[in-house]
Amino acid sequence: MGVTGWQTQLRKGAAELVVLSLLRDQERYGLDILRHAASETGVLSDGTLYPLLTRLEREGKIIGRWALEDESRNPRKYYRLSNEGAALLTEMVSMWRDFSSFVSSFMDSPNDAAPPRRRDLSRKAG
Amino acid sequence: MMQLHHAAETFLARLDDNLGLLSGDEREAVLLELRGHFLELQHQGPEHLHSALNDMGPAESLAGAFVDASVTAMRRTEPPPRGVMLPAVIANSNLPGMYRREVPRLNVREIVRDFRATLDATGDGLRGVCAFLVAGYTITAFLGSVHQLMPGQVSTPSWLLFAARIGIGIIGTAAAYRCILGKDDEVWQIDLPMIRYALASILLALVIFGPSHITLEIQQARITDMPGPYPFYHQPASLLLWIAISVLALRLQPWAVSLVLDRPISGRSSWSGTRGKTMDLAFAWVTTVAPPLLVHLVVSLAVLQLSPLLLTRFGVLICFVDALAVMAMTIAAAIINSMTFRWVVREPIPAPRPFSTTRPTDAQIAESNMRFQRVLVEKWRADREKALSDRPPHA
Repeated sequence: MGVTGWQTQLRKGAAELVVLSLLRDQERYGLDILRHAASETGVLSDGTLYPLLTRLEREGKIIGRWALEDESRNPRKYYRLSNEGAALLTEMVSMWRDFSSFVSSFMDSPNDAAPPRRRDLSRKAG
Repeated sequence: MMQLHHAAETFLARLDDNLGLLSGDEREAVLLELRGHFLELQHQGPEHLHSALNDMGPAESLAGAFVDASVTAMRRTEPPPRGVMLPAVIANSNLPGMYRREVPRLNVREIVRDFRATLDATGDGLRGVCAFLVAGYTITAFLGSVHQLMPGQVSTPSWLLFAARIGIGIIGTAAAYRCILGKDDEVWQIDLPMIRYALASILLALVIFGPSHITLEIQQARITDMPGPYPFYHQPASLLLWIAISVLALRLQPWAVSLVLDRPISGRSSWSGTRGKTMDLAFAWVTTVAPPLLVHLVVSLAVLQLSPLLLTRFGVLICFVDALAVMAMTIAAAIINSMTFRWVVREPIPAPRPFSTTRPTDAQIAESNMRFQRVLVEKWRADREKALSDRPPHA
């Protein structure tokens, strides 16, 4: 797997965390999420966002509602975090920080890095 | 509303063609959301729209991503496996509608496996019910034949024996439903739900047998003093009417089951909840209830009524065989009705023991989910290939 393939896998793994994070404080619709995610992280694209939203909604992690706004006259589907999604996000953020800190420690000074804590790295995000 | 660019319209049409695996509502929501997405981009400038279309790739691939998302979510949110590990008829009715016709029907080996699985799953509860039914039916059958064994002696009135057999049947089936679907400690409790169930069973019996008897009366057939509703079997019109009404009445069984469990559902929801499954139910009854029913008819009519010599020599044994047959058809009916009740109330059916009230192991769930996903993906591929082959070459 070249760097492109690795990057794809990396983005794929991070996409759910990015979407949940973007919905933490406010409702957003697809294009709005995409604008933020595309500009700041690049982990999402038009082709990956909507299937991901479909899955998260079916799993009950986010809640969608339709709204018809005068300015656009297009129905938009706004999403917000459910309680389950909020709890999952908290856990994912914690895991992500542990994980990235652990990996970063190797990049900074691989020989001095602390061994991984099994408990943290083996937890499943759901 | 702004007109959407034809390239985007074509993309949405192709996407729609390939989303056959999703439900109608889901598909509509996906298309509506993407249409809004495209319209907003188009409003910003055509280059934005074309960029998004390029980014999305072929509509078929995006449809695949939606199907994957849907299947993944289904696997995660519906822990009890739905269908794939279950016997065919059960699986048939728990898979999404589009797969039903592709699943083969129940076979004898699966029926036997179901019986054994059910007996295992309910522990001694259902075995106790079987023992109760066999003992009760043996005694009543034997008492019913006493006048042939000992001519001139006082025999028990046939109406009393008939009522006793009805009572045994009602208490036995109620206990069986509670074993299969309810709590073990309330199996034999004669309470208000059981009385409601008894009244409902009598009502259903009147609905089933009443018209047949009226037909028989109209035909001026000879009514014997045999206990039970046997005489109408002799008249074809009456028999056909009985079969037709019985088949229809299968759809009301979940209602009767719900009463004994004290989880009432309406007769209407019982009827509508079994829509489209009448033939499956009838088939299940023919394969499981009919064989012991035939044995019972042969034994009770041919031997008990027509062959006093055999009865004199093997009276108790014959009555015991008859009771075994009646017990088998009672338990078979209870199992089918319990299964149907779970269909109607949309209660997950644990696999591989479809009537168990305990959750299957994680390994079984994982295995079943994998199989379920394979079925879904295979179906999706078949639909997609069909859609592609049906499309005109210029599209």
